[in-house]
Amino acid sequence: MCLALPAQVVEIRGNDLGVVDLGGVRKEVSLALIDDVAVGDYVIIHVGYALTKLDPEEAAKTLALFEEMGTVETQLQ
Amino acid sequence: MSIAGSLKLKLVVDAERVAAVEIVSTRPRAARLLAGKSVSAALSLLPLLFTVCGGAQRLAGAAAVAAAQGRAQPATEAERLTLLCEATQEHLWRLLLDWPQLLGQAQLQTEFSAWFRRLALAGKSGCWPDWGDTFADFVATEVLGMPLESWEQLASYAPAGDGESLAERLWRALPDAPLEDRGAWLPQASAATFAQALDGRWDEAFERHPEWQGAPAETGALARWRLHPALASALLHYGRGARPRLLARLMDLARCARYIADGADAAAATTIDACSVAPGIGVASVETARGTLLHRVRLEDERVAEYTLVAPTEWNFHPRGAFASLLFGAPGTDGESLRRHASALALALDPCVPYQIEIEHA
Repeated sequence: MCLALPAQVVEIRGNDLGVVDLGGVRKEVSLALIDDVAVGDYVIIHVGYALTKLDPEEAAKTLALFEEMGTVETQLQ
Repeated sequence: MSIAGSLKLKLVVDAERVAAVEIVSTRPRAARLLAGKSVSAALSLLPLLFTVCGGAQRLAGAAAVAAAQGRAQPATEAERLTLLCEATQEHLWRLLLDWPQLLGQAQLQTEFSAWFRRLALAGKSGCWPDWGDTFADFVATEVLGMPLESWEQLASYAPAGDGESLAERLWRALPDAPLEDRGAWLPQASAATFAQALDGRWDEAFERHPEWQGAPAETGALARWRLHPALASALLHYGRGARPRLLARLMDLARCARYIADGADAAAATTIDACSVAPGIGVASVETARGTLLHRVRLEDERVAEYTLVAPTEWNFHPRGAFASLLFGAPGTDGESLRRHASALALALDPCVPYQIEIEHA
């Protein structure tokens, strides 16, 4: 049950590598597991790999949901 | 990233033995986000919440909701394929990348990427792939070092000293010291059995620390395969140590490869099951790579009133579950050896979030 946080691709490098932005944090990840990825795409990251592409609508929906969850967690503390 | 949660696995060594195992989980209870949502909104959110097990989560959710609405149906061929591909992807990730990395062996990066992509496409397409035989050959030759049928009929696994298949290399590199064979197994049961046995228990405490018949229980590859002759033999030699766990994982992969090669009928055994215990309440159980995934939903007027989701990680990393109880009492004087054991056990039990192992000397 690892949660699927969407990250935005901000740079494509050689050797199947790319840089993503995850809530303001930039990270180099492998793009070897997905096809046709471009700068601006939203992807799901799992232990250093981009796993799946999300369309922008799905990404927005997921980010909103995680925001809601963050808020819920904070309220409970 | 902290919102996704993680596990801290702390071993406290007192004099010569592990005197305590503390497991701190910061995994959020994502399922409660679904409460109050309409059925269709909840079902469309479910796969978005989860990374590697999105297919299993979606199918479990759909099955539980259908059962709650009184229209439970057997899983379709496409659903079974989704589940099968997802499980196979997980097995390849552990076997081709994670285990070799932990044990200082060469990873099969290129093969992993290629098969992972193909499996992702097939799982989404709903069409049985036409490369099943090639995949089965790859698994037999590169991973197992023997034909699938021979592997599945093994009476015991004792590879000769110099084999170069991935299975043989990993087997040799794993710690061979036995762990005791102790602790309960979560049974391979129907959704109806789970629903009946767990009736009235689906609260937050259960979601975090699930128990079966009053005790923690282990789920996953070893639980599935423990009665197979090769596994029964390995359990005798190595208890619930790393080697039987590797073997069980390889059995899973061999079976997945055969199902993919042989087609839809062969895969009919893939478990997606659901039942209704009362009007508006549905329970689903889905067998995933990591073990049994349970969903329980209560609907009110086509909205989700309660949603409970119990994932395999919560069974195996229960504070007194498999990880904790198997390492409790383990020799602790050699810190490096203890770390190797704990790392191998954690990887075998395969939590679905990042984890750190800490060893503390009391």
